[in-house]
Amino acid sequence: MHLAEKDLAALIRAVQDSDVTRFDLVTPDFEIHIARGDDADTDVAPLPQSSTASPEAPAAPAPVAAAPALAAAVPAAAAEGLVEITAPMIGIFYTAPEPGADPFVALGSTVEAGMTVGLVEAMKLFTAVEAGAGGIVEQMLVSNGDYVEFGQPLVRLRPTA
Amino acid sequence: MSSTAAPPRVSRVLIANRGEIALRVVRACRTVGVGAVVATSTADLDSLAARSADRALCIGPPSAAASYLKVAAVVTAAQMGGCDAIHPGYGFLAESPELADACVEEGLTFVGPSARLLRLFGSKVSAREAARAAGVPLSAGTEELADAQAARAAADELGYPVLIKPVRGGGGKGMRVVSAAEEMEAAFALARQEAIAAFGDSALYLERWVARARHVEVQVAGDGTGTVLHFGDRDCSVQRRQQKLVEEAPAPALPAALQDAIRESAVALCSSVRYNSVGTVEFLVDVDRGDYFFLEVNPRIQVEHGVTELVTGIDLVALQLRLAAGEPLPWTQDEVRIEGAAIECRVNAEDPDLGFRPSPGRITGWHPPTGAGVRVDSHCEQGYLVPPFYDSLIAKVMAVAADREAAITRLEGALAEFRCEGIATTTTLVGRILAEPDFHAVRHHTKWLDTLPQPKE
Repeated sequence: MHLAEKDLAALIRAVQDSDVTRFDLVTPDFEIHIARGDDADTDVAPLPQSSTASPEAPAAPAPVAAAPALAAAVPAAAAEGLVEITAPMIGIFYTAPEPGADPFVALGSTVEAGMTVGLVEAMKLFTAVEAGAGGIVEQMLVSNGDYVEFGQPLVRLRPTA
Repeated sequence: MSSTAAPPRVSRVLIANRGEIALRVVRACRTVGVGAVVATSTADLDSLAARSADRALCIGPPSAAASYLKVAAVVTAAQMGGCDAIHPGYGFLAESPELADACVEEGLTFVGPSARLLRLFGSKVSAREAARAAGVPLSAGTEELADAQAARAAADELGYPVLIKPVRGGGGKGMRVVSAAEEMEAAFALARQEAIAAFGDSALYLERWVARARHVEVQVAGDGTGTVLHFGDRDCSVQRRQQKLVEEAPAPALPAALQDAIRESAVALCSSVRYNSVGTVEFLVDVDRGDYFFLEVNPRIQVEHGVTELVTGIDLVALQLRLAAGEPLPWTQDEVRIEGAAIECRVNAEDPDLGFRPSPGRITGWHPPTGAGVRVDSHCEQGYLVPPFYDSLIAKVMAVAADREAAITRLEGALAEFRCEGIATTTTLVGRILAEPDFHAVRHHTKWLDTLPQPKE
């Protein structure tokens, strides 16, 4: 998919003029996240962010569009046509709901949008990591019990759509 | 969970802040010889502070509410980074008792006063009580007043003008200046309506209105046992809508007896509560009456700490780290020498010609002034993108010299040399303030700048 600068401007205007508070578009080549108003970057809804965020990462209060380029830290994902699920907050990543339980997902699992693929714990508070799009788990980038930063890629999916 | 009785450790510090103060704390960590890890939002990942530290950890998205203001994210970053201490800088979580409590719970050292002191000074009521108990002068005022008639009687005693203030609440809402008895009834009714609308509470009281006040504050440090030193005072009377723009040390043109009394009050208050970090006690000085009263305590490092460092030769942030590590105060009061005069201008990414609208954006050219007696604290550099999410301070330009006039001249030269291209800044405006005859003659006060005709290019 190709997006010209004027298309992007039109998209921002369209979101601005609508009741939509959050717009996320993930394609194999790039991601766009637009947030506006009070809903802008609430931390309750983990969405696939643009890999390790650039200094111009999208957020409130003004509508801002993410640069299509993925950061250098994870160059492979876009090239391989994969979609990343990133950490919604800093904390300890868990692959299963409790010790000894089956992991939420494993390599080859089919994931639907909104499914929990892991947990992140900060000061005894657990936050679910949800898939922003459906696909098949192709890479698990962190292990159970690893510390992860906000925005760190955790899982890569091969989109099914 | 570790015991609260464990000796404090400060060997690797998580800096939970951004901008120039994050960089300032990184430098102090280097001075003291401890590690520095910076917690950043995604907007600051590539900042100078993040690059200067041993490590940077991303704690959240640009919105401060989801990053710099999140206690759990900050504490977790300290654990992830192998830190044993957290420095909160100023703003954000610097005065958060919740962060100080969380540090104790997680066995981390909070680089600042204890949660008890943050709670004490976080409330206007308990802070005033502590000041009263320590014998520090408070603004002349009344208890809660039942109605306009009671207010008129009280105002007759205080002397006009008076200020009607809500008992609960702040930020200027429900406040009215009354300059004569016949205005009281209408003003009282309006203030009551505003107080109910803003705070859901109709309680009002009166304070004496100080028409021309100077903001004078005292830099202190305490070791937690009741020993408190002061490092002289600062004058921060040049304010635009209660935001400080120009600060200097020491406070100029104060009668020696008044200056001594203000410094002694600050020490007495902090000693009485066994203050255990660096901090600032703020006062208003009534220029016309020649007296002073307590405003508040800022239990943290302040933006304008640099001018005190320039006239004392003391690194206050390094001192703060050492006190947090349980070290004693390294000097006696007599050993703290105040020499010369230092002035600071805050340069903000704001456009004075557009009502001081924030002007974030890319800095395309960056040439800060240098030279003898000039200090610039800034996190900016050529190519830096000033993000739109945070406060607009981009640089603190300071000058020190043997006396105030020489410091003004030096600072004017520094500001004239300062080039920041690509965004609008307040550089020229603050330069003009220094040239004002009232500023040279110390006739300025906290409302002075708001009354000056706004300069137009």
